[in-house]
Amino acid sequence: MTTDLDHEEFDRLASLYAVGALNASERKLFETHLELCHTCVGEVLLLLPVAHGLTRAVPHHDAPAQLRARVCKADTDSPTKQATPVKSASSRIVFNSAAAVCLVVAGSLGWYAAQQHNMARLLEENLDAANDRAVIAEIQAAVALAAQQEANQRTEILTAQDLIMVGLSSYPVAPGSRGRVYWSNEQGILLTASGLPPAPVGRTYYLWFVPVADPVSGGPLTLDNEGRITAVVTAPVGVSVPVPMAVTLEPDNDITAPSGEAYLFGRGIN
Amino acid sequence: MPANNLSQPPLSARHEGDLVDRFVQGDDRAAVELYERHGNILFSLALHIVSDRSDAIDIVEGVFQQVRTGVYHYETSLGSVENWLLQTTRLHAIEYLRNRCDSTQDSEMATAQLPRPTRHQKLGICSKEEVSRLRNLLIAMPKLQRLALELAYFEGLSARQIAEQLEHPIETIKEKVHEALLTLRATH
Repeated sequence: MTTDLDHEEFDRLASLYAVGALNASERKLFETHLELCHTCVGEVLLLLPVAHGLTRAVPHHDAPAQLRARVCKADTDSPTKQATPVKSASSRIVFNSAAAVCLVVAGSLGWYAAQQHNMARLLEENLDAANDRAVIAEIQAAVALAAQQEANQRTEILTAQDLIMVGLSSYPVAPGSRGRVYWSNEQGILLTASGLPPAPVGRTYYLWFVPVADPVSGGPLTLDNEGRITAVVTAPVGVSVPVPMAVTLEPDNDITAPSGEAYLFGRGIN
Repeated sequence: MPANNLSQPPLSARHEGDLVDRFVQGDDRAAVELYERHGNILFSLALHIVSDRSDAIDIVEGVFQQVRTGVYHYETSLGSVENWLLQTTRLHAIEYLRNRCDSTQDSEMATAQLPRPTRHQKLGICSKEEVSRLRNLLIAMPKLQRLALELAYFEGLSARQIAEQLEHPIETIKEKVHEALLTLRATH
């Protein structure tokens, strides 16, 4: 976290960001936060379709014939360009400030891949294109692979049509912690958490699914230096949302049932 | 002319990109197709924002011109062509409003730029049913929520500017925009 704002404030900023209502300094602050907070990235990705949908919710008006004439006439009046091959839209490299914004969102999902992408772009600009096509192709292939490994799975989950979010609340043992599970039956499960204390030597955080029967392990979780977890996990066979979930601190060895202290807990929603 | 763009059969992202490419290269048929697919909805949006038919015509014409002359580049990663054109039109219309008010130097002004979608297929409300549900939710929304949201989104005002205009505390405005979006999220 780069500011003293509590996270509720960032929740509100996420909404304002999604509708473009932050001023330049607020926007910069929030985008810095986005680089660190996967929870907010997920929130923005959920709010964006709503913001985009607003453009379609306006009252319908038929455009006047005058507009059609001006748009189509403007085109026919202009010298028709020769059919010089241009790069297809999908392959065109465009980099401007707006695209940088795109990279903040996409990059927060896979910052490593985004950084590699930038690096590849800069290299492409500086290399002699005629001599170094092979090098560029290799870089692009590496970028594609990194992106695939680093970000795609999380992006798939966060943008899944059947996405369900489950908030995880903290226990008194770590009152500043919080977490969220993004559950898509189609794409998988993403767990994000923050504010967790470092695991003592010999102990590891574990995720548990707690159906009516005995808890089922979601596997060990790796905490980064900032007390955050970002993990894609697989639902055990027979477990589907809504199901209560918990994060506990357990001995390092391979365990099959929780015995340690719980740090986060959330109930699936119906 | 189709009454509504929703009646047009959807194109794949690749074909949409090809259509824009052909338009940029000066293909007359592409111009007509692009306009017929998106002209009505772009005009409706521009008119909603600037409340003047003549200005709305200028804005939409300007968007098409700038696309054609390459000022704006489309790439499929930016989302569907329609979402991209809608966002471009929204920004043009907001800029138009700002020029009317001569307030472009206000440091409190919202950027109005939206984050770019990362996966267009799932980041646009497309079906008639979803659009209808969204409209109904907007209509039923508490007045302050709706006003705050519309001023933010359609007029490009920052929370502070909205707070001044509606004479409510800025924290209240932030909360109302947040609540409004959470309400509308029910359309998904």
